[in-house]
Amino acid sequence: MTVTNAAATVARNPETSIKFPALDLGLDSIVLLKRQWKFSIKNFASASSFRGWLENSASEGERWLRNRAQDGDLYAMEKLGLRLLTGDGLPKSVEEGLRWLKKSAELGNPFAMEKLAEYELDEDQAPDSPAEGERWLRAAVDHRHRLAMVSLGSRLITGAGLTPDPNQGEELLREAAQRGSQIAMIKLGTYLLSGWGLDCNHEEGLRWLQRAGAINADQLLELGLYLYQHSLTATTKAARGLAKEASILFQEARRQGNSIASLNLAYLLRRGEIADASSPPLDELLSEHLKQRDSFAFVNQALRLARGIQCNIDWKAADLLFERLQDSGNVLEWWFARSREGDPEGHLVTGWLGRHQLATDPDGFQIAQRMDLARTGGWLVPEWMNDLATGKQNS
Amino acid sequence: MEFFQKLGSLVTRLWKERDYNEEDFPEVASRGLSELPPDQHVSFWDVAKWALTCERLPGQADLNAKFGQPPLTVFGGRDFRIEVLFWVQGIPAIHQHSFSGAFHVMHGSSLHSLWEFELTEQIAMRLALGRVSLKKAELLQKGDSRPIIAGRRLIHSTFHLDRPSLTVVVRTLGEADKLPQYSYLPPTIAYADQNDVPSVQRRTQLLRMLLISGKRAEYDEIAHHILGTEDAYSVFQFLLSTFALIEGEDERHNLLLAARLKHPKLIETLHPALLRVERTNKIIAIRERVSSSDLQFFLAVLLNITERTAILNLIEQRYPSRDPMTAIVTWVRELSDQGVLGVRFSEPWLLMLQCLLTKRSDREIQKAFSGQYATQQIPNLELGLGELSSGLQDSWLLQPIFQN
Repeated sequence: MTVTNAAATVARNPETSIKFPALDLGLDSIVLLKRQWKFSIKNFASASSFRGWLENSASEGERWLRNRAQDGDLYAMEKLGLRLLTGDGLPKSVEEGLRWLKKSAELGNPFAMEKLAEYELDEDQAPDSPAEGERWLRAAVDHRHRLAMVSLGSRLITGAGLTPDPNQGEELLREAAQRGSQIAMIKLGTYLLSGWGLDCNHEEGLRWLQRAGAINADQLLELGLYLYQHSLTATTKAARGLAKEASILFQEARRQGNSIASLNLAYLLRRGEIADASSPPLDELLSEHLKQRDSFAFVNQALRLARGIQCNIDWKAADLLFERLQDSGNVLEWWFARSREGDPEGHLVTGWLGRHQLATDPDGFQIAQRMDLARTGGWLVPEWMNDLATGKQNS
Repeated sequence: MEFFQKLGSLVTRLWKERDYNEEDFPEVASRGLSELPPDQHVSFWDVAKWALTCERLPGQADLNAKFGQPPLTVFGGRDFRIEVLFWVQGIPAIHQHSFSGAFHVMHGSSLHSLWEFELTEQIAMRLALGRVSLKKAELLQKGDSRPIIAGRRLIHSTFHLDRPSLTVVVRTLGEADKLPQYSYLPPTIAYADQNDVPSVQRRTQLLRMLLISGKRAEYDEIAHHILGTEDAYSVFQFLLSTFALIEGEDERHNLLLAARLKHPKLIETLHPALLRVERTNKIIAIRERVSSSDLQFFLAVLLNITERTAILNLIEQRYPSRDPMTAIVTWVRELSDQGVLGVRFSEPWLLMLQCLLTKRSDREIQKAFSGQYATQQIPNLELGLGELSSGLQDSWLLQPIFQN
């Protein structure tokens, strides 16, 4: 049983309270005394485009990694294996990648064990992969890899790739969180807050998030954004799945009165990154922002109309919203970054801004080129969208 | 400067009588300082003025001011020299010396602590694991002198409380058989200065540069390789220099994990020492922000002394008319009010601190709270008080006060 701060401040005897002040033990702040390390949501470094050893010359970087790996550097083996496995910076070779990763793991590298486990559990379709993945993940935990502990705990709670065992999962997450793992605190907090895999305990969930550095609604929102951005550039399925944790943080921030959180939820919902059932309808999430002529709300509404999410498809109405867009700078910054990640929606918005002459294409692409990339990615973009918008042409 | 010429001549004569025996030099230097105590003959201003205006300074040692802020050589004798060390910032460095002699507090005051090191394992030429523990702590006032004995027989820390503080050191030039000169990180580490190993020093500086300039991804790319392949001493220095610059606990854990594979023993013992270094840096930063000499003294004690009895004794020594425990509660309140701690100590916290300092039992603590607050109908009061009590006792700031 846990004593809560709220419990310590309520329910006092009315007679004695005249004589004595109410007692607030300030238990939520005790964590600031105990912990020496700084828990800032900024601990989650922004995604970096740094290519490591392959930054300037892939061939030279590969040569360096291979030489080091052959000389017995376990971490070079791990990096080489992972790059070959995912085709990140090097020609994809699953077989060779797995060979290096396994070699590093077998020599005791817990990071390689964890990565191997993630691959076996999320990517490999072979029948014995889940068992093999679990074996490697548990081996990494045995080697005191705390993030492997978090991964195993989360998977056992949510059932991602493993047979669920919420009790064991919770135990692992709690242990990692008690030892100071910020990501374990966030996971535990979001699971308790939303009742995802664990019994819902809103108050305790919030306390874990506070311990992780998210004290108020703005910080919950910021933490959600960090997680979401991390998920966008992640190479593993597990990390890509952080969007769900982000949505729980947005929902809580919204509950606490943060209006931008509604917009972020709308974004995730529209993109199908969270389930409809877990969130209010898009109309409700977007209406206030549309009234305020918020650019992000306009673009989200336009993309929603273009896809027909909780509405009928209407490209003309969507195009009209772009015509009424007032600030395009931030819009371009966000969606152009998505285009760089290969997201077709990023190409569509970048091209759309060009069509309305709201921004110059940073890559120098023609509107039609952008639209074609969006089409290739599954968007049913009408042909007329390849042209400059008439209103702008006339002006 | 005339006075130091006189002191130098006296030490020369006394040491000559002992046939320049290095073993005798601490005694010789102490005698010199006691016969001609510098604090009674020259002032801080006399020395500063002379050094800045005299026609020709004696040959200066330690030009990079590694020991002293700055050090000023005032006399050069046969195999010994006399230095006046100016100090503007207290540094809680526990160290031994590769020279012998004596030091004298000429201006200001110092917190002097004596330590011992129980060696468990010499894991590299410049790195040893063991137990660093406090033997004695004392306040040194203007006019006090203490001997310096080369090597592990004297492990100490002299934390200068006033700004500036001046110490006069009468010392041998260095005793080769007492090298390397170790520094100590409680609770477990003894290490020699990295100046002796230029490649380690330069690489450490480069790693710090990556972190300070925000090149985190670049640091991550290289750090695991270094930690996983380099020797124990290099790994120790890299971690010592960069650990505090990494904020995320998960990232820190990963660094230690990467190094643990090759250096399991080192990493097991290093982690608490690294946390202590971080605590030290944090308290130094707070100390820089407060101007009250009482608070500066209190923070200096928390920085340097690791146990309750010694802390209370030092406070009593400095403030004979004050109750040390009441003084601690007052100082914590003042620090909290000044907003320098990053957390506010509310009245219930201060009451709990007072209870813990006076070693009240759980029942007495509950009674103390019931006497001041409406507690009758609060559910789980006992658990709440327990959580607060352990929070204060484990806190990074106050932990030493509760250590026996």
